Amino acid sequence: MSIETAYNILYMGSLIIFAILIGVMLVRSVIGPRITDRILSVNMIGTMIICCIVILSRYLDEGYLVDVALIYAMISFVSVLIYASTYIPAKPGRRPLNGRKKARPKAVRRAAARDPYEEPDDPGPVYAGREAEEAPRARETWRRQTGRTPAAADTRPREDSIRNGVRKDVRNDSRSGSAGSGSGFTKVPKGGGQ
Amino acid sequence: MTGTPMEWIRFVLTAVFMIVGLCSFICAVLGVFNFGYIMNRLHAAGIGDTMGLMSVLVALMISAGFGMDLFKLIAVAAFMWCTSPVSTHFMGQIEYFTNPELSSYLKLRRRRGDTEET
Repeated sequence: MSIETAYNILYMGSLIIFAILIGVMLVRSVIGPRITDRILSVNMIGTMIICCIVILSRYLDEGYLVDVALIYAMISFVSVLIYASTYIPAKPGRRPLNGRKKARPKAVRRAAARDPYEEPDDPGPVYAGREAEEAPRARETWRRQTGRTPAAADTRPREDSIRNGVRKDVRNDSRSGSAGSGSGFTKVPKGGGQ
Repeated sequence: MTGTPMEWIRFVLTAVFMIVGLCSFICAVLGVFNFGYIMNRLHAAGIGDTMGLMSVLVALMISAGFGMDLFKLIAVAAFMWCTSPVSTHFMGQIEYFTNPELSSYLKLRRRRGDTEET
């Protein structure tokens, strides 16, 4: 008995046993009561087929069949991933599989999307609503507490107001009586004062 | 009996690893059929995915010797080593999210993202 014959018997016997096991797992994938049983058995069939292809590459002495096994492994992994992205729902606070980002509050999203150095085309909603109503009362409170005139407020550096968004700019403008002119959105270099 | 003793030693090592791999796969299939629920079956399938595949690949590495085939087999082994736990985890997650009667099989703790009672 030569050593080639021994190897051939070993590989052939393994392939036959793998074929039987693949048939058994196919039965499980048919009778599996739930979807997960079927996915599991198909995944295991994939693993066994990878083993079969690798054994076959040694049996036939063809090296390229191992590449086929590698591609098969990738495809079977991707199939499980696609099943997962189909069946796993996106929960609040969890990052879903299809790559959408975690949901942030709407105000934070809007503030992040806005460039404070850019001149807005339509500043309408900024001046409307509760902010515009509360502005005179806030101005009075500020004047009583600090004892300074509103005109002095406009001379201080605007760096912080620009960094924090447009709303403080709007308050400064309405304080000096130029609300609606949009002068709060002029480009100010960082650290510079007016 | 032809072949040098060294070649026969390699053959015996190959046969031992191959038989260990086959036994692992047979254990995995028997476990998948014996266990009653998918979370137990995942454990049985993990035996075949890791131990079985690794033993078969080690057997073929021994028989292939040093060369291009060895590195390709190492690539297959590394890839499967990384991806098969991930697939098992995703299968468990699919079961968690799709089974409405999960708490009759398992003892569940509330997760942070959950809104409805499980």
